[in-house]
Amino acid sequence: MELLSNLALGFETAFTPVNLLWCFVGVLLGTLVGVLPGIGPTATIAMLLPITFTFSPVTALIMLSGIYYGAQYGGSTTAILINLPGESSSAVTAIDGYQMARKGRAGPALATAALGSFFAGSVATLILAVAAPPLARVALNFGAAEYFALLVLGLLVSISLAHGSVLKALAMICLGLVLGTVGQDVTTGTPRFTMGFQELYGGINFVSLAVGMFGVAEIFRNLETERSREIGVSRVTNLWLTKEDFRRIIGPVLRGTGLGSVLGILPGGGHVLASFASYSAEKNLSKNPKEFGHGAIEGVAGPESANNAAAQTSFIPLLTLGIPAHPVMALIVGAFILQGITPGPNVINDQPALFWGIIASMWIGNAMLVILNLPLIGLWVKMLTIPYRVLFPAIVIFASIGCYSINNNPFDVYAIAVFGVLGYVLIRLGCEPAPLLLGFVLGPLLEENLRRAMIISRGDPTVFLTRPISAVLLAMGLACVIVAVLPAMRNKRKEVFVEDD
Amino acid sequence: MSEQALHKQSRMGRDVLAGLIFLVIALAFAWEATHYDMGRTIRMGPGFIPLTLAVLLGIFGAAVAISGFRKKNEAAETGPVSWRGIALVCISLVIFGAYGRQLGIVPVVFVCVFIVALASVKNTILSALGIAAALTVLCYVVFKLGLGMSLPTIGPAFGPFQRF
Repeated sequence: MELLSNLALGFETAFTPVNLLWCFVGVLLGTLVGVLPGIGPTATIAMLLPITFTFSPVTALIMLSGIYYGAQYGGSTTAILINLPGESSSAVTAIDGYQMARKGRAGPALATAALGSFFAGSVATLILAVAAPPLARVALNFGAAEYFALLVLGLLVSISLAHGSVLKALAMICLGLVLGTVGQDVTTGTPRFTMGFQELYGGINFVSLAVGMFGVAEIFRNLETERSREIGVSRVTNLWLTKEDFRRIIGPVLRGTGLGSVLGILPGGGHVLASFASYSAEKNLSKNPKEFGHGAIEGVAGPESANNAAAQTSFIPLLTLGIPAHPVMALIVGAFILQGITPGPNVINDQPALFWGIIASMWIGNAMLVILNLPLIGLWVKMLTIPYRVLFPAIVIFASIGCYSINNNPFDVYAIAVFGVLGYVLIRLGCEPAPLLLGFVLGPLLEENLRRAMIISRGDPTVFLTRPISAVLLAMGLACVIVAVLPAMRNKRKEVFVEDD
Repeated sequence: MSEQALHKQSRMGRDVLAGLIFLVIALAFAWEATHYDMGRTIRMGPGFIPLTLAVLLGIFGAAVAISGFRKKNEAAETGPVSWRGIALVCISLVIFGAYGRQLGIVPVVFVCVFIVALASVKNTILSALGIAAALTVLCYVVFKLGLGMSLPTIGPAFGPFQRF
């Protein structure tokens, strides 16, 4: 079987000592940043990108993806123990997980989260392995017009990532796209928007932008109100699940895995959507829905499985189409490009060891995470006691060293400050940074494909509507915007009612 | 009471401000883009797409601002801006960029961490020094010994004490 021989190649790649080591470092760091509030996987991966330059591409990508799904695990630990979700996707876990912890059942809650995540991660990785190659074959037939339409779809879908106003999200996408045009024009070599700075010829440094917007801007926000965290549960005992617990979590875990795998493929924050969808599904299916919100183990098992499944399947659009579904994936696209590989349908055929190695490493990484999270839970609880006043100087200095060491260029460090301040101002004004980052990463690809499509069609802009695949993709994008606008209108009405009170 | 009122932004103000920021950036980019060759649709020049995007940004920016004007005065809670924090973090980043190579990794990390740590009102001079010392050791071990980064340990600014 082709799949088996491919997976064998993958495990062969992933089981080399170097790759095992960095996979371990990746999931360890991921768990760490998932546990520590105030720093997320986006900022961490951005800071560590420069370090991975010296690695081979497969090692670098194994470690970076390890950080991502490791953070999904770590985020649920804080959600359960201190009711403070480290990641947006574990916000749902906090509802029932924290209640379980308050009733002295923190151990079973953590075990449920870890086992559910492990099961879901393994299944979703298998789905990724089975579904990616045929999808990539379809994508190989895509021309420039189809790619352009696909990129537009990806950007429009990312609006669903933004919590706030659709208009602001659209503006942020455009701002990202505009910032992406800075630097030398690929076709003609004309320097654009460089203001005479030689340093800007290669474009705005992607790592500086990501670290500034997601790392430093977040620090500025946290410095607004410095509160100390309270740790409700300092000790976790009895990690074992009873037979009754096992019986109760099997259904939610299976359903969560299914929901998460499907929703994760959708570009645009599928993992957050997946955990919410799973929670409401479990609540509706449950015989005693009143228990939800007061420590129902199903409310931990379902969403945790769903968000971890989605975290794995969100690699599908990235590995088959080269389109990142959310900011972390955008950074991984950056990692591919910096390693000299164009992410997309060609990766499977041109770099089989890389593609299957990443997939195999996800199984290994998920297994490592269970070992890291359950017996070592005491260590992570200790980590929670690190005060923020020690943490943020470390973030700033790691960011400086990381950005500086990419090109040994002081300009990249100054850029962190610029984007930190810009990001802080925009976030404070209610604009989400995620669409901007996606726009910035996809901008150059969008421009290249648009120009190519126009040359092929001899300057006829209707080509995007006359080619069926591109027309369908654009229509889907439009539908996304309309759907995103609808609830906003409903909310607006709600606000009006509140005002009348 | 009055202190709390200070920390509330009106929703109208923040949307208008966000829209204006988008508009200003859009205008700057659009103005600069007109200096580049536009080309024709069949072979677009380097200015075509930046100008289009800047115009789009301007339209969305204007729409955000207008939607802000149409809203009534709604309050949105935010904390007070930590001007000191922003200033100290930016100063530290500039020092790292400008003097990192001359000072070397050990001194520059120590100085920068010390400055950043003071951004928190909870850090005293003494605790900032402690954090700086601890992170200096950590960065030296991880980045210099572990990953072999190119910055010197102690830079040429220290003359005879220079170490690579």
